[in-house]
Amino acid sequence: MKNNNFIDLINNLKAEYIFLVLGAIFGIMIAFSNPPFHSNDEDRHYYLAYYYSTGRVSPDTLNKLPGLLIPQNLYNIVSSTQGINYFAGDKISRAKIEEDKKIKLEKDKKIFMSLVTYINPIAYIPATIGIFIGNFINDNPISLLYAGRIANLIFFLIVVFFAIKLVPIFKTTFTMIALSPMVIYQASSVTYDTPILALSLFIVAYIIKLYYQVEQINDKQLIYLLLITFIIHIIKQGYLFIPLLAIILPQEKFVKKNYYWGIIILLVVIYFLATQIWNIYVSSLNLPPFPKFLSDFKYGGDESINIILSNPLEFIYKILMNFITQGKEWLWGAFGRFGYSYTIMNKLILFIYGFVLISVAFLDKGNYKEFDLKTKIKILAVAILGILSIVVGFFVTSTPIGANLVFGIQGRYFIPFISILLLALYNNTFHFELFTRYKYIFVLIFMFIILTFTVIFINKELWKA
Amino acid sequence: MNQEIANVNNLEEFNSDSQNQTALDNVENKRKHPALIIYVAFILIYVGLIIAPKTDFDNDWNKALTKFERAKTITDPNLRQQEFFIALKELNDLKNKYPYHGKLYLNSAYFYFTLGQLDSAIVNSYLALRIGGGGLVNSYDSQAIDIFLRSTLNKATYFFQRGDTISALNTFKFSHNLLPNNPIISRIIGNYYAMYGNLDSAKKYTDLSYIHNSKDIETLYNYALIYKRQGKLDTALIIINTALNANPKHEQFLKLLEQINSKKNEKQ
Repeated sequence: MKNNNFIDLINNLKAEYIFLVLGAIFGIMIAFSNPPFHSNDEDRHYYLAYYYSTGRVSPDTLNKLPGLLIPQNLYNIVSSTQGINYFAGDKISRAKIEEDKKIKLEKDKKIFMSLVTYINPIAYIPATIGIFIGNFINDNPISLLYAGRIANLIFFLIVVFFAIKLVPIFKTTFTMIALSPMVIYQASSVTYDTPILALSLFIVAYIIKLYYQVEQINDKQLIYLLLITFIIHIIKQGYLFIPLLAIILPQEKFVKKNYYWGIIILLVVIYFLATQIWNIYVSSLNLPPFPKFLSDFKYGGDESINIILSNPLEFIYKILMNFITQGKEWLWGAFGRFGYSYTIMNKLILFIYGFVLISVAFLDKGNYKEFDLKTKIKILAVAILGILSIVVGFFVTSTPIGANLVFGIQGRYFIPFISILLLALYNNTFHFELFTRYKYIFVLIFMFIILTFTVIFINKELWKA
Repeated sequence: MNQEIANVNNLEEFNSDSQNQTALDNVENKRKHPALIIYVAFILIYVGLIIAPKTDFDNDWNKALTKFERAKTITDPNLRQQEFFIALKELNDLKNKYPYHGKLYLNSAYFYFTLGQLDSAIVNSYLALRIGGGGLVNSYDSQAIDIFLRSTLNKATYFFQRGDTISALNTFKFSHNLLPNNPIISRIIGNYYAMYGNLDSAKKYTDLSYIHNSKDIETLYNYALIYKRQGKLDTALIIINTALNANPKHEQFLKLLEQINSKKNEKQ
């Protein structure tokens, strides 16, 4: 009897609180287990976040090159953790990091680090705040990284907490997506992926909320939708299709039917506006040009587009073959690939996670009516076009001209589309009573096991024994 | 609240409609339910992607490069060398087929460098630098220049160790002709001439180095050495003091300072 009460108590917990508790516990553990500057491009993101935390927004220039003036010993510590030859079995040692933790930041001894691109500060607001506060506690460069990671995690937890609270259906599925090893790994790192992952989940939740609300969509809600869209696009390019999930909103939900098309057009316009606004600002600074480098191949541009247009059928075949050839790697990358992306977590566990996630989405019965077929098609179209846009984008910009395989795609780029893709599975027809009753307990236990394994894996595999 | 009630009503309506159907209809409806079709499709795609067999879709040049990159990570030196040879043969064939793929040359250069075939390493790293496409994707300037410089230095060192300074100088000059804007090679040639008393040539090459890297402390050393040899001790001292302000422990400058001071003392 007591046991049943306990199970009922847990099951009565709301999904957002399960997310918050597991996300906080495992997020903190991963933030401190993950070797410093080992997440994807974390070194570069950290330099920028640190620079912004000093109150600077525009870059410095030296010898006609744009760049950042940052403390010499900060640069030395960060760069000493990079370029480790993982493939040859080399790893970073805990002893080295412990030694580095004793080094005080020497703010006055600066080094100039030239830049090839300059990412806007909005992406780094949470990490910047963390690093700024961290300065008052311990200004060692590694401690500052931890401060940035924790601040990013807090931002992620808050935004996703409200996303799960807001979304009227699919709370279990959203919780599982937000607690996936890769998502928590990225959320506990200094990177612009953290706000992207959080806000993309939030905007999907918000659109579903608007879809199901009985009242008409008011002006305030439209402004919120446009504002979140703007923030997502100004942080990172390439996610045009996520806010376009708004195409599922019924036209009757708008005060005037024309508003529907007006909003869809605005969502597209905002994409181009947001991606250009930072470029316009950087141009207005009249900085010297960013240095030009030699690439290992000739990439992209008109030549790539011409090749695609000259034989579209062959290009479609290439895309399909890329999914067959590289799809598995992209899946592992979306679920759990760590340590500069070189180390894949146990593949069986990742496979089980993916399989369970799809099945939970299918059985995640809600109290709201099912989407009609037309809406389901729209949902699938947004998700598939979004995923394709990334693959085609990389084909055009980052793949050697004439190559068959697309270069440079990492599975994590697809994470924001997972919630949309799975949304097409929402139904009230197929469900197990037992699962429906105890689904929160199931998610709690399942994700606890997956994340426990993740922490053990990171501790064991990313450090020198 | 009203909203939830309304939606629950929707659901109840939906459920009560369902209850009115016969059991057979229910089974039929379930079979044709889009969610089931999508679920089955997702699972099939998911499992299909994971068990998909290896394809031969990759380009030959990328396969050769991947083979080469893998060979780099082999820890057993003999096995690594063996794999390198196989990869190199493929790379050399492919270089003729794809003369515009700079990375083929870069990897060949790397391989020749590890083999000690320094002339081939110099030429291939130079070709990699000449061919490379412009842009931000996978820039390899520093890698190619690194192999180019190391190969040049190793070859020159070989001649120096045998006392063949002329061949050493010619090695640097050959590399300088290939990359005339490289400040390190210009500086080394300048230093060579300064050491052997050809001060005009020393100045010419040091100036070339200074144009491309005015902050280089070794270039400043060349100037100090040249001025010292020309007897312009005060000018040399200004340069030495500037350099020592930046790095008070710089051994070469400290030694030069000592020499100039003792020379000055001798004069007095």
